[in-house]
Formats: sequence, structure tokens, C-alpha cells
Amino acid sequence: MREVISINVGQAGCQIGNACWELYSQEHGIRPDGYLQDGLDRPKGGEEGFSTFFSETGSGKYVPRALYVDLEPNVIDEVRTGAYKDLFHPEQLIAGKEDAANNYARGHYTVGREILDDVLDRVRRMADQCDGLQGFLFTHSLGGGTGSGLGSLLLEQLSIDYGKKTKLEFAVYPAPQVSTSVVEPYNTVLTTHTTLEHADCTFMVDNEAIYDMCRRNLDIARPNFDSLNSLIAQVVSSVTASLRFDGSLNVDLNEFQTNLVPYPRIHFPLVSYAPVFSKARANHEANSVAEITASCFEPGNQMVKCDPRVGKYMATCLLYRGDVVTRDVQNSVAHVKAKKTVQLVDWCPTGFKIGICYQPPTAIQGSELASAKRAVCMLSNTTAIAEAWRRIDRKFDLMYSKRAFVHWYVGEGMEEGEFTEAREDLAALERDYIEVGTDSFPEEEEEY
Amino acid sequence: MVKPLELHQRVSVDGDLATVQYVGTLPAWGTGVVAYGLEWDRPERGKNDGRLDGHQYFLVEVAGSGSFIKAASTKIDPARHTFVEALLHTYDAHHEFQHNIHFGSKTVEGYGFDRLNELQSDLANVRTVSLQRKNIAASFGSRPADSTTLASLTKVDHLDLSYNLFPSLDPVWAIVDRLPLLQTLVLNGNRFPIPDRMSNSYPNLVTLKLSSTMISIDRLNAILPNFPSLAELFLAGNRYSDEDISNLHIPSTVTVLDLALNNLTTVPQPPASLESLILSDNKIATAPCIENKGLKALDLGHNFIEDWAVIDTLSLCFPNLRLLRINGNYLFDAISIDEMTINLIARFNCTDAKSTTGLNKLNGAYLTREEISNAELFFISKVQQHFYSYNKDNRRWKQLLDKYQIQEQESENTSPKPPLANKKLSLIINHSESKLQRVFLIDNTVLRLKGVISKSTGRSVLDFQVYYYVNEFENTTIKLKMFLEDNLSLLDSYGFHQNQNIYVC
Repeated sequence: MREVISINVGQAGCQIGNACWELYSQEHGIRPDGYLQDGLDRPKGGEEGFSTFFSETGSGKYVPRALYVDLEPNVIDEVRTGAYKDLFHPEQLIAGKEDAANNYARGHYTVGREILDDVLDRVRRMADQCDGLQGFLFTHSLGGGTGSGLGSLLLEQLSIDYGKKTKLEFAVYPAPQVSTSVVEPYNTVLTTHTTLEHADCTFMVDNEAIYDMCRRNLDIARPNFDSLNSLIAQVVSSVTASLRFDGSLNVDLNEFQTNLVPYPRIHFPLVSYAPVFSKARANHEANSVAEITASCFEPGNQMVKCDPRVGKYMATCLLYRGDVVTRDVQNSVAHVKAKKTVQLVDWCPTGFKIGICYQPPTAIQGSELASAKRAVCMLSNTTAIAEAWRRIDRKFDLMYSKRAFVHWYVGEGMEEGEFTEAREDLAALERDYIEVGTDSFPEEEEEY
Repeated sequence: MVKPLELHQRVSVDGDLATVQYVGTLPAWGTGVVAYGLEWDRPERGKNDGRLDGHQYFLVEVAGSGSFIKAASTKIDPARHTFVEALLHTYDAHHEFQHNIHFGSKTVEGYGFDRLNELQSDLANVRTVSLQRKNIAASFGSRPADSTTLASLTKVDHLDLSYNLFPSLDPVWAIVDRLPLLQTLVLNGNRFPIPDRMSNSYPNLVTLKLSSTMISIDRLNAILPNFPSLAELFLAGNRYSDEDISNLHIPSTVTVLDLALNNLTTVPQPPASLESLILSDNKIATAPCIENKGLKALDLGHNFIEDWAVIDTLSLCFPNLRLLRINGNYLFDAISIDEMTINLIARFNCTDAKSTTGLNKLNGAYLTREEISNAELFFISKVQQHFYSYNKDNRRWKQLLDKYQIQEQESENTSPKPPLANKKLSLIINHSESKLQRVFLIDNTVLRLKGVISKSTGRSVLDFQVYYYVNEFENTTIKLKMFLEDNLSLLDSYGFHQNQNIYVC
């Protein structure tokens, strides 16, 4: 038994969590009330993988190993009244009364602290039910108040309480198109600084990239949070498929990091997913293994806006799902290799891995994303992702140079020094990325 | 020695598929060289119309989609497999993952492939067979082993044979005959130049994909009755015209019909059984008004609709739509996405995601209740202010007004004036001997009028009084003088006529 506990924090975290658990239940053949679908005598996809994410009660009901935390009740109330209300135990849904008002300081220091003991208590109880807890899967946004503030506080506490357990993070990177507040750069920088040494591996999801995918690939005229979240859920599901289903790469959370994280701070793999087609288009697109593999290396299928052609790959994992044959995979990878744009750094110990999980992806009900017979998710640690940090740092500097909005944070008991400290940490991170991107031995000079 | 191609055979050249339409010699290449005249599936790949140096060698369907190639050309892919060969080659259990691909200093490592191979080694486990672009031209050879192989494919429910080289549908039927549980058959991108003889019926087949096959309507009408359970039919990219579709006999079991990327100019009349109709990327500009209560999903994205009236017709004709896609039409080019959405929400009967009736998914996104009421109220006010033109006889208009209990405005001003024109008031200010004409708004105050006078005369507002004659425009000898004393009252409250004289003393 290698259990994983999912913790969804804040509005974005809870909404994505919702979409994810809906998808997981469908993929494993669980009905919205937690019981098996008719005609199944056990969950789909292998007992062992399944039990990492679900626990079974005596009555044959399956309960997600998940926790929803939010400082205000709205989103959690939606879970409580939604179609999947019976899937969760009321203890798994924790809502405060006063929201964080997009303020990291409120989530981290004042309002968030009050709820912390309660949350840790529930985590403890859930951990006690596990035979061999592997680690935690965090879902939160970087821009909001609860997700950034309370999320980083929880991560800090968990690394004290469960020192060696792996902590993976799905973090929603803010985007101007679906922005809710102007202080998103502050929250992002502050939370990144706090969690940098506590999270073992962070998969970033850039709302702007997802938004563009919805508009361009799924032809949604006006994407809303539902559209974005169901696409994110599909990607999260692909990443976790290797944990949930038997017979694939990375059956262990630890291996994720070993494969992808050469240095503790360089732990932000770029996620790409293919195919992303609307239902109408999918009927006449071929979606062969070669095509989906090639699309993974195109910027249009990435979850973070950056140009991997200017960066170098340190490590790459290709996770295939569904109807795939060995020969096709091998040929496709050879094709990718022929592309000159895919450059790997020479020094890095981690490598190029390919995993396969023969359970095909499932489409979320009502999602525009067409269900495909096969899909591929690429996790690659590329230096190009530093671009995302550069972008947010620039926005931070713009506001902080005039100390705009800082009083909201100071008013909640934060010190201004924390801002400068966080910003310096991020600057160091940017430098780290430049450093790992340079080759270990300089190219030989042609002439002297 | 490569076997020479025959007329109407299919061929793959550098990955592009084509049909052989001419086999013979060309004067340009001399008598010793065999040339093939090819009609390309992708018309852009072609060079001519099958005509060379004034001689027509063959005819093509799309102008410019033909060209000639030497039979000895190495670009022609000589490989030609049977279905069984391709199957065994692809789903080959003995094909180990080779760790000999290197990226720089790194070796590509594979995980999980042993399990996959183990699973696929027994063809009886395989449920999905995908053999796209495998140069398959026939079903199986004469070897007895082939029959055994086919017989072992007992669980296959999904068969994808897209972009292969079948000259006719006959080999496909021969394969399908052996797959008793087959539910989905994908034949996209094949062309079948040689007619087939279909004999059997396939009661389990639910989904049939024949996109970009250019299969003729006659052929379809002949084969469709052999699929008594067919529910989903995909006929995208087949260059069908309006007439073709009206001749198509859609079986009453079909609920999903895809006609995207064809040449339709009007919305076809779907049979009552149809629930989902995809018509994106056509040339549709009109919609006839025939009510259809069965249709639940309609995709009209990226068409040529230019008129809101067409959209209102759709709203009337398909009252039970749950899902609509209509973005990317000409009509919306000039307006913002938000304006498009507001108009569409108001013109259709929209509901939020949780409702069980009404349109709840528009252009790919679910609607929320606030969004709907905002849009509807905005639309009502814009129509009442004559910014949007809308036929108020439409029953939807009544529905909208009832929903928010808004009274229909008396439509006295049938020719809508710009609202500002109604609010303008021109006054003539008489001061000493000089006359000054100024335009005011009716909701200006008296004080403002006095201010204007003050500015032109240089006298303080407190130093003068202003009066006018109430009956100036009536033909009487007695003039009723009225002073404007209440500085805060509006000009509107005095009942001024246009060009009324105002006197200063």
C-alpha cells in the first residue's frame, strides 16, 4: 500500500480538485455516491494503484483520500451540494468563515492560522488510516490569498510533521485573462519563496496557457473557470495515472523527483499534454502516436507559456496512455530525436524515460475535450520555464518599486523585509536556471 | 521487382495518398517509360487536371488535383500489406523496447512495455485495433495462419483503418465479418474507387466514421441499411452539397450526424430522431424555418451566417437545443466576443449548467445564472432603446419581458430618433439689443441658463432677472410674462418651445 493524500487549498484548488475527483471516479468506475458502477466487482485499473487514491469503507463504499480546505464557505458549499456530495465524508471538507481577500498575509498569518490546527488534525487522522503513506499531492493557486498563504503554511507544517514524505504540488500560475486581483504577483512571489524548500516537485499550470488552449484547440469562444479546470483535471489525471494504475512508469512518488529533479530547487517540470481537440475536430483528426508525440514538443500544448526551443532539457518523461504499441512509440521518439530543437544538457544525471499505462483516458462529462483512444503527457525539466519566473518577477518589481498595496500585507502583521527576501530568493532561482543551462565544459575554441 | 499498379488502385507517395487514374506512356517521357496519372487526395498536392500538352489523359474531381509520375519513381511506396500482416507487425509481442535511442549522452529508457507486450501478445486481449497509415490494401492472404489470426480477434470493439490503400470496401467487409463484437469502425481518409458488393448485416456496429472518404450518397444509401443499430455517423470533409444531403436517407437509429467541412449552404432538415448535428466549417448562410423538437446539440461554428434573423430562426426552429456552437460566423466578425455572447444568450432560451431544459452550453462553455440574467436585461434595454433591432413579434420577446416583468414600451416613435436629439432645446437670449441663440439640454437648470447669460454679458448672476412670455407662440394681444426665479428647477419644467425668446433685465 502506497497511499497518497490529496490536499486542495483555496478556490482554485478546490475547483480543480472537484474536476479531478470527478474524473478519477469515472476512470476507476466509481459512481458519484462512492459505490461501484453496476456490473463491476472491483474498481477498474488494478487494486494496488487504486488504493493509493481511494480508501474502502466496510460497506463497500470508496472514499477519496482527499481534503478540501478553504477560508470561505462558497466553493466548499458547492461540493457539499454538488453531484459528488456523497463521495466525500463531511470531515474532509473544511471551510472557514472569513476569506483571505486575495491577501497572502491573511492566508498565511492571521485568518489562515486559526484554521491550521483543525486542518492538521484531519490530515493526521487521514494519515493514520494509511498503511504506508507515500506523500501528499497539493493543488492550489499561486495568485489567490488562500491558495498562496494557507497553502504554503500547510506545506511548511507538513514538512515538519511528515519530514520525509514526498510533497508534490500542482500550482496554478496567475494570468491576466482570468485575473481576480492586482496583487497576484505579490502572492505568487511570496508563496514560491516559502514553498521552495518544502515542495519536492511542482507542476505549474499557467492559466494563460490553458486559456489559449481552450480558445485555440477547443474553440471555446469565452472560456470560463469550468472550461479551464476540466482541462487542468485531464492533465493532472494524466500525471497521476502512473500512480493510480498498475503497470507503468513512476509507480512511486519518490521516483518522480528522482527522475525529474536534478537539484532540489530546480523542481518545476514543464507539463505538456496531447491531444487537445474539440469533439467536432476530433472526428477527423488522426491522433496517431507519432502525431501526439510531436505535438507534445510544440509550445501550443504546454501548460506554461515559455519557449522550450531556447532552453535545454534536463530530463524528460513521456507518459503514454491507452491504445499504444511499442513499435509506434519507438518510431515516434526516433522522430523527435531527429528534430534539432530538442536539446538536452550534457551533464545531467537524469534521463529520457518513457512510460506506458494501457488504461485509455476518460473524458469528463460535459467537457469540450474530446475523448481520445490514446494520449500522452510529457513532463520535462527544461530551463525554459525560468521565463515564467522572469515574467512574474517583473510584475512584482513594477508594483514594489512604488510600495503599492504593501500596506495590506503589513496591516496583517507581515514585515516588509519578507517582500525583499522573497524577491531575492526568486532572483536566485532565475540565476540557478541560467547556471544549469550552461554546459559543464566550454566548447573548444576553433582558433587561439 | 515491384508489381506494377493497375487502374483505380490506391498509392502512397511520400506519405500522400492518391488514386491511379491513368497507366500508360507520355510523349514527354518517351515510349519506354510507364507513367501513372494520379489524382491526389489532397488537391494542393496536384499540378494539373490530368491534362498534359493538350491531351486529356484522365478526369479529376477537383481542379488541379492531378499529376503524372514515373512508374519507376522511388517516391512511390512499394509496400502494400494485408490487414493481417499489418496487425501482426504492429501488435508484435516479440518486439522488445530497444534501448538504443540516444539523446546526446542519454539513453531512452522504457517502462511498462513488458506488461504491454505481455498483454498484447495474446490477440484475444486486444480490444482496440488502430492501424493508421499502414499501406493496407487487402484483408488477408490465403495462408491458413491468417484465418487463425483473425479468428483470435474476438474481443475487438474498435477498429481504426484510417488512411490506408483499400481499393474498395470489399476487403473491409471481409475483416469486419470476422469481428463479431465490433462497435466502432473508422475508415477516415480512405477512398474506395472500385465499387463493392456488400452482403452481410452488422447488427453490433454503433459508430461509423467515413470522413474524407468522398463516398457517394448512392453508395451510402446502399450500405447504411446494413447497420441496423447505427447511432453515430461521421461524414465530415466529403464535399457534399445541399442536394446530396437531401438525398441521403439517414436511418432512424442515427442520433449523431457529423457533416462538418462540407459544402452546405443551408441548414439541412434533420430527421426527428437526430439529437446531435455537426455542421461546422460549411458555407451555411441561411436556415429554413421548420420546427424540429428532437435536436439537442447543434454545431454551426465557422460558417457564413451574416444575419441575426437566421439566428432567431434557429432559436424558433430548435426549441429544445441544449448545446449550441455558432462562433466564427461572419456576423460576429465586427463585434466583440462579449457582445456576441450577450446577443446569443438573449435570443435563445438559456439556462444554467444544472438545469435539465433549455440551452445551457453556448460556444463550448456552460452558462451561469448571473451571466444569463445580465445578458437578457442588457439585451432588453438595448432593444427598447433601439440599439439592437429585434422582431418583437417573436415569442421569445414576450418570454423575455414576462421573465423580468417589464412592460412593453409604447412604440410611438416608430422611426427611432437618436435619444440626444429629443433632449436638445434651443433658446434665443435677448439682452439689450443683442440676440444670442444657444442650445441647452432640457435637464439643465435655470442657474445654468443664467450662467451662460452671465458669461456673455459680464454681469453677475445676482444682478439680473430673466423672464419669458408664456404665450409667445399664441396669437393673443395680452402677453403673460413669467420670471425664472427658481434657480434649481430644470428648463424642462417650463414647457419651452424651440427657439423661445428669453429676456434679460
